[in-house]
Amino acid sequence: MTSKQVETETPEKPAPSVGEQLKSARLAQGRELRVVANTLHLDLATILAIEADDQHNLPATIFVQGYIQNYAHLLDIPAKPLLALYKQHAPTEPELDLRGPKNKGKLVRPDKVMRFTRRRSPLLPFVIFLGLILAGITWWLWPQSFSPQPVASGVEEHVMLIPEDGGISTIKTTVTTTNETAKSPEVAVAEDKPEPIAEPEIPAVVETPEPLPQAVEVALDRVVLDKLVIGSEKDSWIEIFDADNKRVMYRLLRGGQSREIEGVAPFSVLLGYAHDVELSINGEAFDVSPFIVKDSARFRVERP
Amino acid sequence: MFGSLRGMFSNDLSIDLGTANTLIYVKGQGIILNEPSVVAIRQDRGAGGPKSIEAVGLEAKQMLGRTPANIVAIRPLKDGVIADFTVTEKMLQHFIHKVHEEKFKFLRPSPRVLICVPCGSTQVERRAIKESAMGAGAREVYLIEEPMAAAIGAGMPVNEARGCMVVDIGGGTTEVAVISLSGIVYSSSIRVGGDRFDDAIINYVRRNYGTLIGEATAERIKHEIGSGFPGEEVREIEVRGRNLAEGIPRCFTLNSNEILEALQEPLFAIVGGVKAALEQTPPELGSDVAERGMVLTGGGALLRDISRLLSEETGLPVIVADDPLTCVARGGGKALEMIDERGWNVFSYE
Repeated sequence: MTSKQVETETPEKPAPSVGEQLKSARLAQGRELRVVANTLHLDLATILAIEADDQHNLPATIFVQGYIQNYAHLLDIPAKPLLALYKQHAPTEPELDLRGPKNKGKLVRPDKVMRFTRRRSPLLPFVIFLGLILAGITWWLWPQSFSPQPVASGVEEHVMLIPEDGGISTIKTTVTTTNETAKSPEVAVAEDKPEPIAEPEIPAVVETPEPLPQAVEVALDRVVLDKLVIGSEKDSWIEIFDADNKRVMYRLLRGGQSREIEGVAPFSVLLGYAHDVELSINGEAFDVSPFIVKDSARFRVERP
Repeated sequence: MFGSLRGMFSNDLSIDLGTANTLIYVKGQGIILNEPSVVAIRQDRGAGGPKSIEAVGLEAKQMLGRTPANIVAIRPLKDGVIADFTVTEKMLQHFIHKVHEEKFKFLRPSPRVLICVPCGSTQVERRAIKESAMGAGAREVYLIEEPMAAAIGAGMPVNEARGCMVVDIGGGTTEVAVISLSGIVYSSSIRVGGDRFDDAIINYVRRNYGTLIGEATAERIKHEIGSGFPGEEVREIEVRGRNLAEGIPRCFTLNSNEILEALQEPLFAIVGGVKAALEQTPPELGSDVAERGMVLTGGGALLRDISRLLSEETGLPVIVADDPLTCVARGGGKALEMIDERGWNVFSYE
């Protein structure tokens, strides 16, 4: 067996550590340990610890890296490979905790960072924004629920209807308030007397509605209107609300007069002087006497 | 309200708003922007005409000293603090947008921002920096003192009950601080930095060669042959400048020893600041510093052999941090991460 073969069979030596490399370079240049320590402004013990790779007696990694770099420059050997090797074997640094040893978890240290705005919950604006979007979608998909309902009342109004051909047309409908007294002979006598107060009255209008388009007729058929007729022998204050809580009558009814109201039952009725009031709904008489309390009465009139 | 919403789509940033360079560290991504703090402003139609931003950062720096009459390239920060509020705001706005432009194009970013300020800055100067960042679109602004950020970024064990000395040599200021138990025990700010090195080189060349050179040339000389301590090797550089007597450009050669001579004044101002800090440091902490040494950070630490100068002058070990230019921004980034991990009360000022 030749000496060459012996060399190849011997196991490979591990690469020399940082400390070993620095020590061998120092010894090769014949520099004394004390001289190196003085030149680098380090303790002799620190230089010994670096050469012995004794991590326990060395300060934090940042300092040791600097020492190795300075030492390598002094010995005029490349520092980068040594630093790379050191980083491979460097001990892991404990996590930096700025709260200090005595105050973990509760330290308030005013001298490091200043904060200028209040911290807000990041979820709150997101939730508000989402709510607004949902509200918008709801409003967009069900616009009917927010639009005003059609109201039958004793006044002239315009109704928008969409005919079958797709065009929009406006028609005038009139809900009539008939003055029955004109037809009654008894009331005709009463009308001969001069009236002390000229009360503004809705003129008795009986208009023959124009022939409506077919679509309008279909739409009107769906809304069933109830007819309420109210008359009184003596003056009485009348206030009537329909099913949609729309006030359909609000006036003083003179003795001997009667009014006809069309709307959707049930009606809420308030009579100021209820003793001589006669009421009928859809032709059927309605007795108000059970509701009279101290001359006035408040009651609901349902569809018969 | 919408600021917070936009904040969900923004990255938290740590900004080292320096006189020479602005660095931005993004949580989880590292340093993603390192550009000169220079803004080029165009003003058409005379002195009263409308102003607009022509270029920001590297592009603007290339214009320094080379602009026509209607464009002016300026550094909005001077000596570490804001000299031109509006331009600083525009510059920050540009950088914040640049950081976010890859990710969230459709939303105006509204990040949480931590900005490093010189420890010698006044309340007014700090408020100006904060207002500027808010104006640039930041949702929340935190300020941290530069030496603390630099020490954290360099990896110093600032939480230990031992003195750590950090010297951050920036473009406009040099910050010296002694830190122990996560607090600054002593700090001072010297208004000497990389810019003063450039000025010193310009003055030296004018005085000794009768030639005028620009800021960019002076910076190139500093980077290539500048040194803080006489070395064995003498390096040379060819420079072109305008000869003051003849009025025409001339070429001449400078060597590293000449630049060392030129830099003596600002270098010894820094040495004086460090010595003053050591004088003011309590003896126990001074002993710790003497045992372990001081750490240099900032762009000025890259000047050749400046660590050796400080070591020889103070008799202490001096260590240059890994990647010293980015230490402050990285330290700020770590502080931001700590805020998230451990809650605000770790840092609360209120």
